[in-house]
Amino acid sequence: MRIAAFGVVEHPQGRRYVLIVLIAAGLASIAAALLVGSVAAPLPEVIDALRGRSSDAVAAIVLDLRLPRALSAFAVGALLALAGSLLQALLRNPLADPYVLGISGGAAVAALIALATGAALWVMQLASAGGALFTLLLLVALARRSLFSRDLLAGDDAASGVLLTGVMIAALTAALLSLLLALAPDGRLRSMVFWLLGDLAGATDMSTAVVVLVLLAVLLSIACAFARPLNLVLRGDVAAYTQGVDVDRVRRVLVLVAALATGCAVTLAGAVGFVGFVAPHLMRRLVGNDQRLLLPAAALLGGTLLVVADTIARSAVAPLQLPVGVLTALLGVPVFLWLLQHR
Amino acid sequence: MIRAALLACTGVSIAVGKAPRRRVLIENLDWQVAEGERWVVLGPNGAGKSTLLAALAGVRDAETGSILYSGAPLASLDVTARAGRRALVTDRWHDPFSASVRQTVLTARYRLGDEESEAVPVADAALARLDCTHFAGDDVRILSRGERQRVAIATALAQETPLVLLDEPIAHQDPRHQVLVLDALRAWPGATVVASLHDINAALRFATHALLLSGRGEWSAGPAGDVLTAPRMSGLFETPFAAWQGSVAGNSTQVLVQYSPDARDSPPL
Repeated sequence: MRIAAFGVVEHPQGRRYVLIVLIAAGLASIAAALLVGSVAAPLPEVIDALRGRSSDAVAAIVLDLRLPRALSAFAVGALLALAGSLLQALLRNPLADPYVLGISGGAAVAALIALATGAALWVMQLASAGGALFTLLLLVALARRSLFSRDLLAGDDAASGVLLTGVMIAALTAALLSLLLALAPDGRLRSMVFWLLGDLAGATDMSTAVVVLVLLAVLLSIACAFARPLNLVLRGDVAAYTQGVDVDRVRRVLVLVAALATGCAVTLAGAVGFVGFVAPHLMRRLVGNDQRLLLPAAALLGGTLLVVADTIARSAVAPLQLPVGVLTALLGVPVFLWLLQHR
Repeated sequence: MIRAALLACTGVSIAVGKAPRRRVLIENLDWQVAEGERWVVLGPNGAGKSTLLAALAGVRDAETGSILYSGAPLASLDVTARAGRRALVTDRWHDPFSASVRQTVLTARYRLGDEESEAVPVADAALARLDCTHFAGDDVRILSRGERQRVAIATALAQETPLVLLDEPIAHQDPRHQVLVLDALRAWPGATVVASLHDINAALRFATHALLLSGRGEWSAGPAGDVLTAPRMSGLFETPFAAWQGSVAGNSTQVLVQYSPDARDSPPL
């Protein structure tokens, strides 16, 4: 690891510049998403549409389809990246991702049951949110001894206790998903598989997009408020505790934040893979491990990545739409492997 | 009125394991540490040295008894108050992600919440004291165990607490750094020290007092000169020690030498 990676973090200005660049990249990606698609939307027309001066078909496409979808993609990517960063830090395991605790699996089971029975989109989304919440409560109940432990010497066991419980829940939901796919009527199989791969085709509702963006802001603020103690928890429970961190409280709050972020993202876009794992990794390479910078930076990068991936997914072979979750992995894995080779 | 001891134990018992394999390591420990004293905790493997240090630091509960910091029960102090009373150096470090050595030491300033401009000089002073300055900008994960241990000790000193608890602080140090670490602990302003050690001669040079733990419940405590004697050490570790007195480079010195009861088979170690 280069020393330069620490340098950014030790200077508050460097921190600010990183975030400004990432915000600019996020806005640029959303602007690009408005311009690109199966119907050409030239820049002047898009600007007119955004100012409310136009009422033709292009304006309808930009305002009613592309804008909410781009905002949703940004929020989903950011939520997944936030959840991934938090879980990697809390579990002290760089392999953790938002799906490791089985929250998304629970959401998927409920969503697929709704899809298999041919329920409406909002019923499916509600079921998905319910499934995520139920799995979260199950996780907290089963891992309560690890989450609310008083014995700090068992700190490593506490982290791995939550992890093991989550992995088991994920394994159970994976089995249930296979069962559902095996039993599902053929006509519904395609939409179910798409949902499982992650798909933003249904995320074209402006008010939903706004709600999710607000939720992102709230969860990110909570996470950032705990970034400083999280920096200490990273180095072990005993060390953090003796230095004055209420380790149990930090873990409880942040596991909840990660689970809510995951549940929210999965409800909106299905199980979009890879972003939640790779965004924290990429950012860690660029800015180091100070969670005060890493958490917002990873969230911004995750949002940007998913907007770009989704724009490609819906325009590369238009009018056909690819599931964005497949695209994030197809594009992301080679990039990540290249980075691993060139560190 | 007599000032309350910096650290006091009354009736503290420490046990590990669950019945029927429960082992009581320390029974009814009544013990006081006054400001400025340097205590070593000695005992065979598994005698409860690390466990006692963990209980003193409040990261694990004692089975019975109470631990008082300047008269205040440990149980009544919250996590922030505890962080202002004592620092703990364990022998386990987690560095799952890269961070610079200086950043690692800066975690000690969490309780004070001070700005980095105020914290960095304290961290750098602690690092300098422990001969870590030349790698202060390096990734903590490339360090050797000995170097990493010195960083952990520097972190504890940077916490600026009246009491520092250390678990085998020279276990990974080469001869020069063993002396350097113990000198740094002795010289750090205002620090009272409780450290477990296995090196009896290092303890002789360093400690003002010693606490001996048998691992079977018995304990004894007292000034280093009274406790760190050849007969006591021979009994504690169940292996013979002899005192050797002589002059080294013009200074009279005393060391304890471990020897074999049948000296013809093996020379003194």
